[in-house]
Amino acid sequence: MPQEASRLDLLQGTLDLLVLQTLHAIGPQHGYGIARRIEQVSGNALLINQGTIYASLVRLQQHGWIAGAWGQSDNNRRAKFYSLTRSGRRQLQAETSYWRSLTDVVERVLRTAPGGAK
Amino acid sequence: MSALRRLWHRLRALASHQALDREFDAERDSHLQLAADDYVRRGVDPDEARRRARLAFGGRDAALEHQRDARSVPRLDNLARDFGYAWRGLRRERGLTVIAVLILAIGIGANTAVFSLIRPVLLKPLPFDDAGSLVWVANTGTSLSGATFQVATYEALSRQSRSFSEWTAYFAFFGYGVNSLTGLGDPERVSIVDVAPRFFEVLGVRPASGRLFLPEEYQPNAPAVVLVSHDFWTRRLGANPAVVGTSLGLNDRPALIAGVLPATFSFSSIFTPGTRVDFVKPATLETMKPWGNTLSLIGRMQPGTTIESARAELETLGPAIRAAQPELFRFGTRLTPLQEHVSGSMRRPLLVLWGAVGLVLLIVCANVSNLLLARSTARAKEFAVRLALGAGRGRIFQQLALEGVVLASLGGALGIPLAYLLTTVVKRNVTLAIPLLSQVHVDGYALLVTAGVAIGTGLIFSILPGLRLARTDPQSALTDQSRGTTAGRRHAWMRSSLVVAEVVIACVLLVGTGLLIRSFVNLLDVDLGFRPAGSTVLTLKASRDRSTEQTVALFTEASRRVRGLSIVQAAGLTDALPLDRNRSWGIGVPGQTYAPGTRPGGFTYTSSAPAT
Repeated sequence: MPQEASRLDLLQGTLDLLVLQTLHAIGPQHGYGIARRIEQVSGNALLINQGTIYASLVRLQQHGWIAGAWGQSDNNRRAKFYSLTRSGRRQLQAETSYWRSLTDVVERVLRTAPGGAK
Repeated sequence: MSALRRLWHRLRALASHQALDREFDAERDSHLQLAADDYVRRGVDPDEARRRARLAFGGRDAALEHQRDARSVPRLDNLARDFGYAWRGLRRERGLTVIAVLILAIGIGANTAVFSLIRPVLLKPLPFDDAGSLVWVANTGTSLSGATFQVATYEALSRQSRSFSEWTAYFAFFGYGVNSLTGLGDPERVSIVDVAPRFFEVLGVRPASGRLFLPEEYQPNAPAVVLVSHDFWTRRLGANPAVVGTSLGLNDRPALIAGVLPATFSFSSIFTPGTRVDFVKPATLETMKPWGNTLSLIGRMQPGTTIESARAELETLGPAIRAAQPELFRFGTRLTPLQEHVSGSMRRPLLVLWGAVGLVLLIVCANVSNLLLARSTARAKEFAVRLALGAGRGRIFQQLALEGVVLASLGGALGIPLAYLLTTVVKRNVTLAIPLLSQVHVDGYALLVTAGVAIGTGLIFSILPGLRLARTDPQSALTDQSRGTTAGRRHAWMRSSLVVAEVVIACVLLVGTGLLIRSFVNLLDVDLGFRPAGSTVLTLKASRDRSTEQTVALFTEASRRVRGLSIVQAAGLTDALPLDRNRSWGIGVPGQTYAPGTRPGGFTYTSSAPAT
């Protein structure tokens, strides 16, 4: 059984990446919008509760990768809108290529057939 | 960069804890509103929409805790909270706190004081330039004249040794001279040491103001000139810089004050601890040449020379010098680093003292530990509740350790003035033969050590109560005494082992002190051959302008008058007190002449005062 902490860590990193990518794809968005979008795209597989998104948002803000400001939503509700910063864009690029190469490596390892020889 | 930035944010988040929590709640409200709007748009009725929105969001507290972990430093966050808690707890139990702080102040204060006392002697280099290359050379004997050298030996060593860049010396018998200072109120006896050329230059001591001695000032009949010790300058000359260049009356002659020595250099505290030296004057080696062993030698080794090779050189050089000048006294050379010479004899006693106060601190720890252990019984329930509510045992331990550190820090804070007081009292006592006493300060370094000791102490005495409380079984503690017996037994075991440890340490200290006192009593029991009790010494000095006859008349008259006092039983005159120094030079049977080297080695002489 994977350790609770390590599972959370993995989830955290992934969630942060998804948030960055979401903001990149749809532009400035509030917490609820980001959470809905991730739910829709991932088919509810990643977010256990929508509330968990806020830990990710605060973390990304502290890194300076996203910036938040209160504003009005389409249906005139007050909400805090988050947008990608310039360093956030760079981070997204770096994270994406890192993720790709990581999954690539893991994929290759997992594909090795038993017996050693390929 | 980004990691630093994050750390900064995290630390800031600590400070604006509540504001950030409010911000979270505002965002959550907005989130629920937006989610509910969404559901309504999809045809869900408003009440159900709000319910579903809350469900999708998840628990508020869990999300908030999640966010808090992300935004802040959880450990520090806890620490700040624990600190407040510890502080309130200590204030609540004022009696216990006061007693513990007082005990700790004594233990920590004593340790700070002893550390300050020991540091200049054992832990710091001497206050000289490149003190490591300075050496002390002693002759083979142990008495003062056995350990010193003749002027010719000093000069030969200066000329011939290759391992040393320079030699210097001082007149070791300066303490026996009687010097009077006039012109500053009542005449006063002062202590003056004569130093060989370049004494201060070899050591690397620069005057605080004025200048050092000039080469011509070491010549016979040169005008008198002195350097004032920093202590005398502040004590008697009002720390007035204008005294440099003025004259003082020393032994009825004006002596020019060439300069003031720096506070970091106190001749007596380095070379002759337990005495006082007020002035330094140039030694006229020319005049001293016919004298016996009178010079204490200090050398500076050439860069890169080891003490062993220097020692080897002197071993061959010594006999060669003696062979070239057979009229010299026989001598040997014992070379030690100057540092070792200065601290050498006090090293062990000071280390023992250090060990002793260390043991006292251990007793203090055991005592406070015991106090806290007693309190932990009363607090078992409090901690059982916290454990039952899900506090980790690590947290409980952290809480107790923090309480301990806070307590010890308070003790340390109170111990600092105590250490100040102790060191001041010790420093005032000029007769204490501890080298470098003038350099003893409770300085920033000592305070740092105090802080370290306080924190260490706090951690140590929290261990046992911490172990006890963290092991509390919440269930049995909460369901009350019936099942408390096993815990009670372990508790009793802890307390009694603490007491045993305390008694053991106390015994060590007691036995040590006992032995010390016993040696001291033995010293007092030595038969001196005379009875020092009830006797007192008065040192007289006659002006140099008097003839020998006048001086004799003066002294005879003085002793006659002293004898006439009703409180005096008997009085006599001597120029050498019992057990003081060997006093054989210049003595012979009246009327007899002696060839060099044929004077009798010693005399027993008595002076009987003429009957009145």
